[in-house]
Amino acid sequence: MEAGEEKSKKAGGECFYEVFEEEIHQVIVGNRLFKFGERVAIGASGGKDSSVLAYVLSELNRRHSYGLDLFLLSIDEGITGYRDDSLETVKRNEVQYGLPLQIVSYKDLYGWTMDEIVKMIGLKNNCTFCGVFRRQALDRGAALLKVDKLVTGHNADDIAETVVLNILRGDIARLSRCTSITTGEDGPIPRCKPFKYTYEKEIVMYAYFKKLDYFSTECIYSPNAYRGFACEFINDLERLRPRAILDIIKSGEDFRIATTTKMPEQGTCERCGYISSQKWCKACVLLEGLNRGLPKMGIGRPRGNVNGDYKDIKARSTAKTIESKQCGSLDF
Amino acid sequence: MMTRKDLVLVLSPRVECHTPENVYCFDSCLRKQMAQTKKTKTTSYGVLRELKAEILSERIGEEEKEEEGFCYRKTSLKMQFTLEFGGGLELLCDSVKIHKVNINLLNDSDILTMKDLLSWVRTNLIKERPEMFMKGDTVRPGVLVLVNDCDWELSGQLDTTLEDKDVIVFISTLHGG
Repeated sequence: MEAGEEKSKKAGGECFYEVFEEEIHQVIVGNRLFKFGERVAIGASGGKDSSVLAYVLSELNRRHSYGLDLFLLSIDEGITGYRDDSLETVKRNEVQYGLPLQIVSYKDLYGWTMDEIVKMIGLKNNCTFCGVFRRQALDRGAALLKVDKLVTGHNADDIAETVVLNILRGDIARLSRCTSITTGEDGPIPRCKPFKYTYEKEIVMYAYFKKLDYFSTECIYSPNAYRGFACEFINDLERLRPRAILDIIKSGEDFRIATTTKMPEQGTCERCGYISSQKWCKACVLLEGLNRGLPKMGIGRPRGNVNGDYKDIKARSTAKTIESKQCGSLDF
Repeated sequence: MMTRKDLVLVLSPRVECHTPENVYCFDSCLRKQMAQTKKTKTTSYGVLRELKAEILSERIGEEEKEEEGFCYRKTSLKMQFTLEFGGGLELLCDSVKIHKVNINLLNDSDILTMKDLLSWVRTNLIKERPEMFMKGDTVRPGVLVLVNDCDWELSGQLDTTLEDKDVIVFISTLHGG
């Protein structure tokens, strides 16, 4: 971020946003994120990252003739006082940037809103439900729009937090995937993150100078999220040594998993056909838990078979040592 | 004969609050002393002399006295600033995004730094949850500060000197995107 600022100061009068847009263009071209003529959906929540993403992408699409067909895809989790307000912002963005909007809601897809889910499970593990459901919802929405690719506004701070979070939880499978700029290429819809090397501060400054319209409040359930610790840690680190964020991402990219580690294999969910490393995908497990009034199902360390015909592979790991535990089955 | 109003309220860190009634002493020793002296309605000249000596040796505190013979006044500098709060921080200031404020500076040096301004803001503008805005002496990590559209990290952070009619913007980056 400081490098960007200094760049703009040195380059006599060249303004901050030109440098910012140019950097994003270089990331897109250098990593070959898009092909000419692709249909691309932008995951838009109405927050700062997705609003800036929508603006910059439509700008660059025009300026450098990427030839992309852009759409806005928004997910309604049903969080009153947060999501209903931010959706208004996305609707305004639809008009301001001239991009068609598609809204997908949890209620339609799963029959549950986040408010109802939280009432059932309490204030812990909310992000687990929301995140898992959102991933699937984005894929469903992308399929409805018949797009080739999905872009999200994850920035450098987010990715650094994810790396730290996965280390703190021992989730090796995710650790190996989380720093890729494009993920899910072998799945239904690949996703990419053009802001992977962009600091959150740069995005906020860009939005401020360009006077972009965005919604800025924390999700009401987020104070209880585990990610909060990683977030605070990253912010304190950034204050001391701003380059640390990019360095964490670099470390994440260079991680190589020992060949002796047991890694989950990717298959498909028996119930819904979605990509999954277990017999049932996480969303199906969580939904089943909700519908049967067992909010703890799918959360935390398994204690044997919950359901006669559903075999949890994790339940079979009865070994006592940490090394032999299946990836991602460590609980906190 | 000096009156109550004439005795100027000097406080750390060298900024007089907008409303003279709301002055705060950040120096706990002086606070204790003030508490002690306030107990007795009639304060002796001896105590005043002691306080004056302390003020002159750069320990600042506040006290309003009706006693005769003591006056301590410094040159006053009025500065006007425009403060903007964004990214959710406006919720800490009664949801008002833009504040036009006047700050009276009482100082030996005519310099007002960001450090002074921050304490002033915490005292006067932040009505709830100050820990969301500040951590210790400086802003909470994750809050972007722009002085005249320039990131304060380039102008010295807390030591940035402020001039009349400056525009200072505080934007929080701590929310989902």
